[in-house]
Amino acid sequence: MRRTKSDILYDIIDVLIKNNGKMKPTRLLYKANLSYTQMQEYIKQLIEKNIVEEEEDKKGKKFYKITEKGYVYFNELKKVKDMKNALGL
Amino acid sequence: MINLNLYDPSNYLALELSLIFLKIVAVLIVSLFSYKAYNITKEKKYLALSTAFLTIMFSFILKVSSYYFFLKNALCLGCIGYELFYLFYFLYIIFYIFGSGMLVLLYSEQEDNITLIFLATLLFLVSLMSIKNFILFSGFEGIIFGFITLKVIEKYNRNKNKNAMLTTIGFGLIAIAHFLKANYIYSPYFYLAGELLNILGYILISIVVFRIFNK
Repeated sequence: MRRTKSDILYDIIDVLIKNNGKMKPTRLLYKANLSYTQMQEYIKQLIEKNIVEEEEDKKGKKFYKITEKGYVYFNELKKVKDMKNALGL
Repeated sequence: MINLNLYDPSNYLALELSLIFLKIVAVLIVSLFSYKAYNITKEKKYLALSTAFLTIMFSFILKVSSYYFFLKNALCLGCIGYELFYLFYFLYIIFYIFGSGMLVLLYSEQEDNITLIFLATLLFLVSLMSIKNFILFSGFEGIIFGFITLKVIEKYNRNKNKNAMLTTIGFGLIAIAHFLKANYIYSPYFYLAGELLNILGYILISIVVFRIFNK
């Protein structure tokens, strides 16, 4: 079944949360089942909304980290997902 | 003993009016939370869901208004109020059919323009015919909510959970309620049973949505 935009956003944040709130791009791409273009598009949106932030580790490698606002947004998305499942939409 | 005659202002009408007010609250809850879901996700289907339930809510308000004009002129046959009663009752039917029609379009996930125009025309024609034929209106609504129930069951089978089961029962009750109301000519008790199941259905759906957003 085709995932909607909110499904994909939910999956990205869910994967991040399950990995202590941070993850490297390649692993995120694999775990959230995204194409490279999709990940770029959605991560850009999440960074703009201050839900996810981009940081670098000691070796200078990029990783994504969920913000406090991200946890709140995830809870809201979870409610919408529950409503969607309950109403069979 | 309650007189269950339809449109009898002194008896059953008061009971039905209070039931309609409960339905208005239940439908408004679903509409508001659907709009909240739209605000979070910006997905059009939640806006459509909210609009559909809001349209149904307006239909209930129109029904209440029609009863007001009926009650006001109950002892004055041929007064202008009777025309207003019919006008509001007709608007109630149109709004209800279009609200439930929007739900059908949402659940059928239909996006083809020709099909949409065909369905909109069908809904309008049924609305026109329903003003003189309550059985047609109730039967048609029974089919509409029956279709929605089948769609919800289909999704429930994929991700089984308690909430999905409750909304399935809710939509199912509304469908049964309309079929029961279509049989009101045999006994007014069919109408009363239908109205009670109808409100139970809407309340069940609203409780599920309310609980999800207030965890």
